Amino acid sequence: MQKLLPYLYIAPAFVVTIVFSFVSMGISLWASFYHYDAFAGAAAFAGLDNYRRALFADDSYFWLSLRNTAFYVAMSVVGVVITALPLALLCQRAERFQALFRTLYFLPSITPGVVLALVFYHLFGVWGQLLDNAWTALPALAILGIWSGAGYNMVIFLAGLTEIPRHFYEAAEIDGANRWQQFRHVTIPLLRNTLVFVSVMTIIGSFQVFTSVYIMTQGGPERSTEVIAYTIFVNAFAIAGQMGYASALAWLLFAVVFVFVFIQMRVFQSRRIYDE
Amino acid sequence: MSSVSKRRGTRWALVAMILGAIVMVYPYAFMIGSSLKTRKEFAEARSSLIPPRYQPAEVLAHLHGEDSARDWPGADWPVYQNYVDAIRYGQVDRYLANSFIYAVLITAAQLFFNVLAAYAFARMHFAGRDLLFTLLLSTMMVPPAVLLVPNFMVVRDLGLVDTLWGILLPGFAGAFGVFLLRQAFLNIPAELEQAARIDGCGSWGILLNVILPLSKPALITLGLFTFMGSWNMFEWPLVVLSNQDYYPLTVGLSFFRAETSSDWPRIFAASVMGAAPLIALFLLAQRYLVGGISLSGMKT
Amino acid sequence: MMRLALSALCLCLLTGVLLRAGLTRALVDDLLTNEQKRPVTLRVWDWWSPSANEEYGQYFAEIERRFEAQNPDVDVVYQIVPFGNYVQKLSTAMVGNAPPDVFQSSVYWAEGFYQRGMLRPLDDLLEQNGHAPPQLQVTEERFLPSAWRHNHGEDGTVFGIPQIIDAQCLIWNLDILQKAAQTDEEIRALFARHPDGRIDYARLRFDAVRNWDHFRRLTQKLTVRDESGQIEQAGFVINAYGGGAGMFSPWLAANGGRYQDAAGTRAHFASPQGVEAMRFMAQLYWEDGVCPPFRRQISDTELFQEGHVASMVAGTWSGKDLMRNTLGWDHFGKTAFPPGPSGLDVQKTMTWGNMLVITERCTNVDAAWRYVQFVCSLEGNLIRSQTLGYNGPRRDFYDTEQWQRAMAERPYLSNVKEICLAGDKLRHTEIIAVNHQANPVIETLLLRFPEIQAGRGPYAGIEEALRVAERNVNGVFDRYNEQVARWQQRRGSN
Repeated sequence: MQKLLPYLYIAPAFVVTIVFSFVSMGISLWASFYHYDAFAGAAAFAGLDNYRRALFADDSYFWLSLRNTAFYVAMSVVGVVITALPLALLCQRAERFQALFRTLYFLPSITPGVVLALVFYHLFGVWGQLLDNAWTALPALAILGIWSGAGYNMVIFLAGLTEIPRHFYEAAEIDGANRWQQFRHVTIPLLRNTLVFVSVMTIIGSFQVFTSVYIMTQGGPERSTEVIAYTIFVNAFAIAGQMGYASALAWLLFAVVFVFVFIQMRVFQSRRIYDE
Repeated sequence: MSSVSKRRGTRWALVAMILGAIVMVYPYAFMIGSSLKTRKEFAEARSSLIPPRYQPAEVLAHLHGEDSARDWPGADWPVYQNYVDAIRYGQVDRYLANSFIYAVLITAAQLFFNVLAAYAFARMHFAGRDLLFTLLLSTMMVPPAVLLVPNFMVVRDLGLVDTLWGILLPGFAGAFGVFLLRQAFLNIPAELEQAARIDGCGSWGILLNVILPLSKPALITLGLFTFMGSWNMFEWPLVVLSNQDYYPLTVGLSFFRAETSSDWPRIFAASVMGAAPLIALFLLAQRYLVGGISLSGMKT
Repeated sequence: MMRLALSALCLCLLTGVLLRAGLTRALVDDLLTNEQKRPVTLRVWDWWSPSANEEYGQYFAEIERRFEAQNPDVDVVYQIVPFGNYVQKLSTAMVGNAPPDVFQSSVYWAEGFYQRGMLRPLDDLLEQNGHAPPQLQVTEERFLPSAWRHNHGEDGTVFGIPQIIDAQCLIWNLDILQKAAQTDEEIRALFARHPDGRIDYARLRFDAVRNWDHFRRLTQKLTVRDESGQIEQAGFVINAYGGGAGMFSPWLAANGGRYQDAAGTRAHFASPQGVEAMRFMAQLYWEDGVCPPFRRQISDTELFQEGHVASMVAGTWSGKDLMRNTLGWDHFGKTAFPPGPSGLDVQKTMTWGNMLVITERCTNVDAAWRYVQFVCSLEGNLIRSQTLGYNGPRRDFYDTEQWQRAMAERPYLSNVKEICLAGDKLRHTEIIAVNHQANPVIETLLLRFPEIQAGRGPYAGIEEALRVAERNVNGVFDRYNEQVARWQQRRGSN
């Protein structure tokens, strides 16, 4: 009994987590080789048809939505870093009011995404119809992402900044380094871990973008905001018999993410070795 | 650096932060202002933060008997009318109650199951421990966007579509939570545990009397994050639930929008009510939350 | 003290949550109502949402009250699902714990749902109809042919009973028209006349607009610009974002074309008629300048309600909702679509008859059928007319005194029946997939017409764009037809 106890302890968390990741991925791998309907279930073996269609067919939007997603992710990461880090530096200097600012900047992180999307749907209209043409719609969605993520990441950067010992700056000052040089040669290197963390979390988070597309643009105009999560959702749940195809899309997405994470890990690992 | 230039720097930082704060708060002001407008006011004065019928200029014009927004159709609406209607016709209160229950149940389950697992992984020795832990952690590699359809299929095969279990079960535990708690548990000195054991505590007793009290920050962090996450979840309940009685606030709001194509003031009233509870909770618990974020950021 | 107050507050909140949550709803309802529980619960789905419009709430309350009075064994429970989420919600609800027994189905989906195996064929119920009291009997002859043509498959199997008849129409702001009519003979001629020859400024002639050129001229006359050239009042409004087939197909019909063939296996909108219709719409906006700028956030209905546009495309059902949103304004009128250059010389539109259907998983078919009979009876039609201002799909509805009275009180209803009868059958297979393929193309055509004309756009021309969309829509149809064949095969083998 005593021997079984640890397994009993981990069982619920382990089973739930594994079932709703690997087991479900397994089922959907199976389904991706079938013509599968959300209501009627599997109808017939499809072989590689679903994959072939996703990758090569004229009317497949896998690559398009992947590209849109990639643009969105790139804009979000850059936007979040270049807003959250300066904000953290400023907030650090705001001294007494730091807590107040932290609270205000944090508001979007605790507001449901649906609410933010509803509000920005109109704000983007008032501010020059950003959702109305294909060039600005995706950047507008990214602006919402950056706006709502800036405060959260500011707090993380703040934590990172307070970790940096004061004497590094004092030493730099004695060496005659100006503000920018201090930032460049003390802050940035010592903040590297936080920077990596913020970028990775933002990439993972913005990869999933769905709510704002679903509420504000439904993929339009001219398919410029059709992101991968939206394409998968529409195919799986709104079109008859396409859940197998949507499973294939999910697996292709998984493959892309996997390759991406793999490369990222290699890059960061080699950088670390180089640094030390 | 001279103290004068430092003070000037602080002043500039303050100005910049205040400008930033305005950018952060403006959408909320827009939302609240819009929720107080009549439909006519929203159509005619979309970008004004104060409903025209309460703007001083309009009130004055009205007093002078001139044409003003106080004479528009619907101008006699009470300021809270949209809130009443959002509850009466849109059952926002029910969606709120549902969201609350889901968030509480998921948070409680996450804490309970993750604590058990984290404790076992941190403090117990058993065959395959490291392998199982690695397996558990590797589930974090699969992003939720990929899992939507697969998880739906599992829930469908289990016959849980459109049930409470269907929406709650996948959130009952998570690799991130186990990871976070295990780290916290590992930081607790083993001697304390030994002392408790000598006092006659079993593993339950140790967990309750030693481990949990000493890892409060991690527990609170996980609890708050889980609560926020489940309060905000949208895509999963959107596909799993069909029964309107069970919708959480997010799905209810999105449907409210889909149905009420032109009654935006009412939608915004519903939005305000949807955003308020979590903001209130945040104001109460922000000390822990901000600490918790810093905690999660440092663990890299 | 503080602590006590706090716990009291928490307790209150918790009670409130439990009173309202869906989880505990049944329990609370049992506690609070001491009414005898009815043995049969009938779950009914609709997209007519009281949260959008209180009048729908009144309608359902009235139907429920009268139906439950006549059927003491049945408890009707309504659930509202937004139109745009219907297909998704239904396909998941049908594998879930609480599937609907009866629901209103749009003609967009009904046949698809049937082919997918979600609906119960109604032929046996129709055969036993004779046992029902005459006022509740459902037979084909009691319905307008325009309504009784979407509710059965090619093999004749009936899967739905029409509860409504609708068509696309042009809605005109009669305030604007009446003002313009003071100085313009052509606009004055749009209005109907009283028997004594005076102009009736409350009513438009059904065929007031003769053809597309006429429509263009009218909307140009009704467009007013300020000194800087900004449109103050527009003749017409086009919604460019995601409108797709819905706004395109009535013009196409008026030009003698079709969106897809009758069997639903081929798309036909890249025809010369389709190209003409598309060009006409783009020209109205870009060359004739009669439309306000494309704005995602401001729907055409909102612009119309605010009195900024003289005409828009809407359903014939629309009317009472406009009155609600404008707090009582009802000075508007409806016409059909004028024939295009390639069309026959008649007024046209698209007509549909949304229906009540019974699901395959319905557990009490008898109660469900009684509900369908009641809602689709003359009484049900009259309740809809009373609370929602809708006209009905039944022939006898139009002979009633109540309808005559409604037309006298709200003159905008006067052309509604004629418009509905002038329409082609609206048929769309797999509408969401079709829209997912075609709408972005139509969007591009409307948004970038000048670029495309100049040869700098993403497509060489309208024809090429529509052909691409048509090819992709045909891909949807091919996949869907294969899918249907597989479903049928499997059902056959079971």
